[in-house]
Amino acid sequence: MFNLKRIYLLAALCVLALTVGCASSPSVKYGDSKGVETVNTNFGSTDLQTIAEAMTRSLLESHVVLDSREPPRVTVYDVRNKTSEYIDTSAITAKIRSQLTKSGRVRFTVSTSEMQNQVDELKRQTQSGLYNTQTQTKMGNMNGAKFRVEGFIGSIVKQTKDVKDVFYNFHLSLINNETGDVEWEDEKEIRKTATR
Amino acid sequence: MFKKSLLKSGVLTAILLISACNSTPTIDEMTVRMRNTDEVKILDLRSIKVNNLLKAEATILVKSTKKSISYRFMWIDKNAFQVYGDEAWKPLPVGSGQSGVLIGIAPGPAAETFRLELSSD
Repeated sequence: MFNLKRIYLLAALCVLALTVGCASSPSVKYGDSKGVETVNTNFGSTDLQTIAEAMTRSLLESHVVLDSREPPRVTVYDVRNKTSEYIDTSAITAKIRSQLTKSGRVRFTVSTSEMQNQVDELKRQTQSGLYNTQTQTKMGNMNGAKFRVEGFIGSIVKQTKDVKDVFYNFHLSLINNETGDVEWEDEKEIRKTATR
Repeated sequence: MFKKSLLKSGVLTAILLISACNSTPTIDEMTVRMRNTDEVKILDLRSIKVNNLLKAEATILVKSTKKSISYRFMWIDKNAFQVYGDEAWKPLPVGSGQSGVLIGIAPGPAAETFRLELSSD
């Protein structure tokens, strides 16, 4: 009698566990990576793509690019995050760099964050003694960037009980490394509003 | 009589040839609408090459913003093939009852013409 009760209790617990487990399993599906995302007012994929396209378009129409006989050499510096949320600003600059490189109108040199890899590779080829001197890359031939790109992203957040309004301002500058002149500057503003 | 009919057929042939050569696509032909985007009226479409990259502009009028409508440009090469893949969809930067301009620049020099794509929720 006692054993039967225990068995019934165990069976009931198993059924309960199975029901709860099946009910709470997540539903996963693929979405459109280019689609407009409106999950919340935080910085999102649509904002990243919109900013990158706007900055790329503006830079391609700047006098620096239009008036150059050859594609100007540019290096990328970090974009400072002045908002109160976490934003991977390197993703924004990587996207801008990728689009500009594809256009063929701008050439990029290694950035500060990529410099260590560049030095390591040069040392590996020239100092390890393993590489054929005819085919190894030579030290002292790197091209310097004439310009650098840097900027910041800021936000203004206003909130009431029913409404949250977030205004993003992305600012980018192209600076001449030799003279310090700001050769190009532009900004992209995005407003996102959430209502209950 | 014969000369008159010859002249008439010559003029007709010339008209047909000119109209065939000048077949500029209409705004509707250059716009791809997905789902219900009737609230957006395309007033004008134009393009120009800037530094060998095609720049496209579309003047639009938004009648109302009941639906969330987004846009993107599709770039087409001289052989009518799409190039550079799909752009990201962008929300319309224009409010209800307002007009505005949508601007796009092709990612590379292969684009010779474009289509404006509109989609709603």
